Amino acid sequence: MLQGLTILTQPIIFMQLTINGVAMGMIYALMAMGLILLIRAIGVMNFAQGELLMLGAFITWGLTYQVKLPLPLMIPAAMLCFALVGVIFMFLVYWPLRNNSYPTATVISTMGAAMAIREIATITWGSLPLVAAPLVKGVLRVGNMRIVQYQYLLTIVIGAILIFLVFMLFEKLYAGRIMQAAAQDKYAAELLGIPTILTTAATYIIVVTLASVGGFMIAPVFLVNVTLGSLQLRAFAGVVTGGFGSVKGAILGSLIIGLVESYSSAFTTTYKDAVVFLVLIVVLLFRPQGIFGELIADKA
Amino acid sequence: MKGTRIRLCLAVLVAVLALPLCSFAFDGTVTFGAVAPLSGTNIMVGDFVKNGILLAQKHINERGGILGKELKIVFEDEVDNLQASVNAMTKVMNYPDVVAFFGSTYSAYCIAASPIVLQNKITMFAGGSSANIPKEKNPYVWQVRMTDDQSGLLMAKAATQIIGMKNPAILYIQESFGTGLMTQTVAALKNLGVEVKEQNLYAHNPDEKQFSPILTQIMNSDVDGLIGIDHQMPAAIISMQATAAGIDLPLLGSSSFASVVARETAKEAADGWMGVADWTPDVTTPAGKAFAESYREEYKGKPDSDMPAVTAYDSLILFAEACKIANTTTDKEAINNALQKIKAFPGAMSTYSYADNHCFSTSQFLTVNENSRAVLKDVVYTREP
Amino acid sequence: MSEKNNSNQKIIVDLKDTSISAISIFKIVAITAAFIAFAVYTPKFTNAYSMMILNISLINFIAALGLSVMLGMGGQLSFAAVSFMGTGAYFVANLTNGRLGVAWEPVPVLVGAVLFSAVFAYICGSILFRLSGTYFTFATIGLVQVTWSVYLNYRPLCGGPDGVSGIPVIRFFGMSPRDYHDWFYVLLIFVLLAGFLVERIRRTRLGRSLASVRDNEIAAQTLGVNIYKTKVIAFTVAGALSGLAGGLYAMHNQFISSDIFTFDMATTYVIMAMLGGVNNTVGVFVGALLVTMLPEWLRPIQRYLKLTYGVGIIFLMIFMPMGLAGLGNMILKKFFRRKKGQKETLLTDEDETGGEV
Repeated sequence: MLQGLTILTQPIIFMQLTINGVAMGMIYALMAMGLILLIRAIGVMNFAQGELLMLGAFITWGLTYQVKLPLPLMIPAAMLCFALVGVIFMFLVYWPLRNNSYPTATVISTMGAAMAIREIATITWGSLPLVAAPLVKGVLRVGNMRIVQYQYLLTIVIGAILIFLVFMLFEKLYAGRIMQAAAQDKYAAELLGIPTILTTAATYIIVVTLASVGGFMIAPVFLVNVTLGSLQLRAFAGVVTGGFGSVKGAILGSLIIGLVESYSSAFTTTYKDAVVFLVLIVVLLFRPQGIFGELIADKA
Repeated sequence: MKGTRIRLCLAVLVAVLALPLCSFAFDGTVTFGAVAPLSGTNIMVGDFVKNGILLAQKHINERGGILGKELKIVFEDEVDNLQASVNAMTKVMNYPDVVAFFGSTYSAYCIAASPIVLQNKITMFAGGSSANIPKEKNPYVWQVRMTDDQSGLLMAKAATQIIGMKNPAILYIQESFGTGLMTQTVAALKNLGVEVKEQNLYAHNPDEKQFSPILTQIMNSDVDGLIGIDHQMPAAIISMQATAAGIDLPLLGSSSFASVVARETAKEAADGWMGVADWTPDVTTPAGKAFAESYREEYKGKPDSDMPAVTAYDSLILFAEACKIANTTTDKEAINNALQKIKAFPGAMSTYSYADNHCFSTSQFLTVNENSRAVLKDVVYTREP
Repeated sequence: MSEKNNSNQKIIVDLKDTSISAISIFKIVAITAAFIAFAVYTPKFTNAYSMMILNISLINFIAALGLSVMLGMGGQLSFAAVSFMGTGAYFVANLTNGRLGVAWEPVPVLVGAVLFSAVFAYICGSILFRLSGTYFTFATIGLVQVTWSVYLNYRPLCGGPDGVSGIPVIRFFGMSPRDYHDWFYVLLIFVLLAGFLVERIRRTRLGRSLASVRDNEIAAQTLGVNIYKTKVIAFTVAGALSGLAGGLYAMHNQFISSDIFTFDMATTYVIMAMLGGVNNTVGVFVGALLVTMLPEWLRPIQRYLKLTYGVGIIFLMIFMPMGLAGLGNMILKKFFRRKKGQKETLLTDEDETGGEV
């Protein structure tokens, strides 16, 4: 324990661990934001979020290395694919169950979808891990010391921009407010003439895009392979820690989880999972609504 | 008359051309079982095992089968978890015709299946390398790969005598193989006078991808070398992240760091890693080279041969040899006992000889990754073959 | 307060009497007959390998049953079954194989394992049920990750990554199962015990309180049901069942490691319960059987196995969210309704096709 503290207090290590934690937190935040949007629109957790991130990594890899599109073409092509995935996902997993008053069924359905997506990726791209080149190669140096890989910094920046954009969409733009209305009360929204099927589809597309961009950002560091999906558990932890109904909470919660994960490696490298989730349980015990959540009674 | 002569010539010509099409007249069959991860997260290892087994089957059948009988293989999928692996091995053992089989590449699963093997009295060639496997003292379980206590000794020797590490850090996977090899290496290092400090031992979870925090700590401490003990994919990720972090320590890795998967994935990042490897496709021993080349030939376009493939191949070859020694393909007990007579048998991976701990391997390769190839530096023996 | 309770009980007892209808009799007879046939004929037609898979599915049933108590009866989705399986398994492993210096008799240790898991579940439940609904589900995921991490790393009690091997088989009055066929009968006894226990609970006040909590928490509270206590007790029962399953698993396989107690395995148990019909004991039995045996039956399509499985789950949830038992009930109702306008006077607990969870 003491030794861990001495490690943490070394400024270089602390800074590197912090940047690392924030970068990972950004990835979790991208997934967490998607999770929150789906909860507000549909009311259940999506257990396929990690697989959506993984699929995003594979799709962008495929477009870059198999179809060999240069970056400016790859991005719109990828967006198109993400939109397609989002719509298909919605129709398979959510649409048939939308009137079902058995929310566990939808949760299980997403688990099935997760399995199916994993297998489709394995069948399409094979079993060996695939390499994606970082968007920005190299390392930021200060003097003679290497501080952090540029790819991590880019992840933080792009993540922040995306989150900001989605935020703006929901808070400021009319389209965003329509989507929020439809999410809060579908019946009333339809009475007002809001096409709920479109808003739900739009939500799903945004969710898939967020997760997929996360996958794209992290692929050069972690390799493109089917086990990327396991990152979703951290995103869940982030959502719950930050506060269940709140988008801000989900983002900040994810950043906190990323930092906790990073700092905990100074104390233990193997009990990392235990530490992260113990933090989650402890937060839930002392503040069940999460750190930033509002005290709204949960839907029974 | 001329017509008959022409017809005769034609007949001879046809017969000569048709000769390769006539397979050997096999006098029955003998079945060998094989368990591999044919689906799930370890599918790439499974592909290697399958390729190795099929290549061995091809070679054996081309040379007339085993005692004139055609060799047949039955595969079972061990997926990626303990229960599925044990299920697969149990299923293989219960096939009526199977007289021996190749077990899991993962040591923990081999140990789990050990009591079932004992109950069924059937020979298992374990694909794992843990020193805990011989501890089960199961007379039917054999290991083709070098066990970790010996590998640990070789790693320690390489670290101290060749590289000259005095204060190494060890990064290892928190899993039966990783912790086993780590313990053996630390013990061997201690015997050679190098004490590895507790804080320089870094374990990581099996599905870990985030090595930057650990590498940060390693690079900012006073260690003079990094020893990596891992499976193929984490080895690749570690190599890549270490290079990106700008590590400038001498690097020594376990077998996986020299593996095809690690090198082809990490490319230049894998360069510089020294390895104590079970296998490298650039091996120069005659039997090894023969295997490496026939593998390349058979599986053109696919990655080069890797450790799981050679392990499986050599296991099957040893099985064929045991059958020959025992002069039977049906008496499981005799075949098992015949394995005790294996002495100085040249296999692709090593020269095999019987040892009391049921481990056949007598050597490993010392390699260095250069230009994405695992260049063979030396063959190091742990005992006289 | 007691008056209200009495009148509640009276109403429910009355309703219960009238609900013993043709369907119920048919179901009881059919299920008993099927079970006897299953118990007698299966060992005759299976080899050691199939027997092993069947045994594992029986053990899985017990664990999934615990989950169905939480989810089906109580409406709370909990992933914690594997955590308590682990406590049961490691408890048995440590105290019977001699690694801690003691090698006690398996049966008392098994009982101890069940009690230990129950106590641990009680403690965890007391803490976790301060949260409700989806928060609670998340906390159970957190619990699974924490226990998995401990099972993987803690050498003294869990053997670290090597796991614990050399666990002796169960021994009752000096007799042990000789092979998997014998184990089958031993496990059937436990299966029956667990099944009867849960069915018994369903008909007691605890079961009814749980159902009321599931259907409408606020109304239940007004009727005087202590929601917190009810949920914690249910969680304890679920934990005890899971502990039993874990202990049996350890003795059957004679080897355990953290590999079995992962979050992925937890989702498998949830699927077992949902597939069969989460509120129906027989349904969970069928579900456990199917989910455990399916990968074996579908080996020919190996590479596409998991894909089929995943897609199958999606379709299952779309078309049959109340599982096979719900489907069975629907068919039975349609069949019996054709006869003589006989009406089903009241839906028993088992007939509920879902409703708000």
